[in-house]
Amino acid sequence: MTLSVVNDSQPSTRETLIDREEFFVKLRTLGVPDELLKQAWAIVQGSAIGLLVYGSWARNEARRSSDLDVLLFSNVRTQPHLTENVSISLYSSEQLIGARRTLFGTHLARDGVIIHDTDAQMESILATFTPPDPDALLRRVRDFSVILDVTRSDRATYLSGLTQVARYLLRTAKYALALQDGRPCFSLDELSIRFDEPELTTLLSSHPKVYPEPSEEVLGDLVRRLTAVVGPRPENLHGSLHALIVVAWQADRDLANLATLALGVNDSLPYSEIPKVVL
Amino acid sequence: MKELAFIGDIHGCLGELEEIVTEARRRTPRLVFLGDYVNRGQKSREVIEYLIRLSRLSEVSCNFIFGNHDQAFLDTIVYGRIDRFLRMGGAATIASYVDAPRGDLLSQVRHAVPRDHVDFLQALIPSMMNDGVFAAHDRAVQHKLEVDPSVFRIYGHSPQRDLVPTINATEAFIDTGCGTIVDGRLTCMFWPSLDWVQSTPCVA
Repeated sequence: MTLSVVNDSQPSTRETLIDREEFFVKLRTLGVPDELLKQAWAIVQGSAIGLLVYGSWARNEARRSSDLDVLLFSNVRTQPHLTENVSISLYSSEQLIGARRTLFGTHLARDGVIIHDTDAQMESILATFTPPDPDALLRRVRDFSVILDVTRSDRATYLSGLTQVARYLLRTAKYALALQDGRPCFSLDELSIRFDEPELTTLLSSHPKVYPEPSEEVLGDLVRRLTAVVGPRPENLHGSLHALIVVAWQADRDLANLATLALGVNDSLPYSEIPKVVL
Repeated sequence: MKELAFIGDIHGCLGELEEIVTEARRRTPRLVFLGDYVNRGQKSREVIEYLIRLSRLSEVSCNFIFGNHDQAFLDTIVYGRIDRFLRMGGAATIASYVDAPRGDLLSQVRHAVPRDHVDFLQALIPSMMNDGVFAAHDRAVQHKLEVDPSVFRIYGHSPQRDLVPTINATEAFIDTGCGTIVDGRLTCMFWPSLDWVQSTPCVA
């Protein structure tokens, strides 16, 4: 039986107030329109370890209608509500450090623009990031594609969630291919030109306004393209998506989390209950 | 009157539960559990079994409050709300009941959860008021009950990131991340002294 002991050896995780002036000036430099800026500010204002903008605005290739992708780095903030034009990913120290050898981490380190950073904590974490092994990534995507091997009844029930998972896997596979070529790239516009698949820009968009409505056809199309990259999906030997989730929970937690996302998130349950899945 | 021992969120961590109950019983036979017995840790079924056995001991008096995870588990069995449960991490609990998940998982769960476990879940209470102290799983419950603001209140539900209970003049929060946070502990707080003890860090 131990009484709690404060651990002094932990690195600093101090959080400071995000400066409004700095936020507006830096984001205006990236060309973000004021309307979007105000929406974002309303959500992110407060204290945080760090704040970073990534995605198309950070790469200077946004259209006026593009969403603003923001990483909010904090151990104490709670997941902000979803907003139409601003996508906020809340990461704790543990989660950010855990993204060290992932595609998402590489994306942040490569394209991200730091807006706020207490004691340069975020910068020093991002500096340790290295790209993942693309071959291992493609194998992982193939393993995960077992989620898409569903019964007809599960496919009808979970069409929306399955389409979302298929989109995530295909996007990851395409990023991995670019990495394999030694030319890492997180721009769908550029990848659709490189791979000569103009539909990728809309098909793989993560924004509900852009990607096509989930349907059997869209799911089938995503699966065909995925199979072309990683090969045929493994068979789900457990007879249902539910059973796969429980079996995977014991053997492969990331697979279980991703398979759980396939159930969809359309009732009142908070996102925070589903651990982040990062490849 | 013997003091009351309040035990925080357990989340399927049997070893930590056994440890903290043993410790609490050295001081008092009056135990109040703040809910969230299942999910996250690997031994949800064993935790419920242990609590049922404990409640049958004549020398111990137990109060079991329900947490949102326990409610979701019960809703799965009674109303078939399995998707919602799985999204909350219900796989951990189901894995502890169902040996070989296959096909129609909901039927398997309903078949595998013993009657006395369902009875236990159905008998959970929303809150408790005793010896001038109020306890509930989630602080949000109190607002629905119009509890006298001068009464001291004890809650679970919100993991305290620094792994120690948060105590102020009117409230204490004693979910210290058992099963939820790396190195989380199970906390037992005694009333009226507000002394507290913790289990060793959980391995979930």
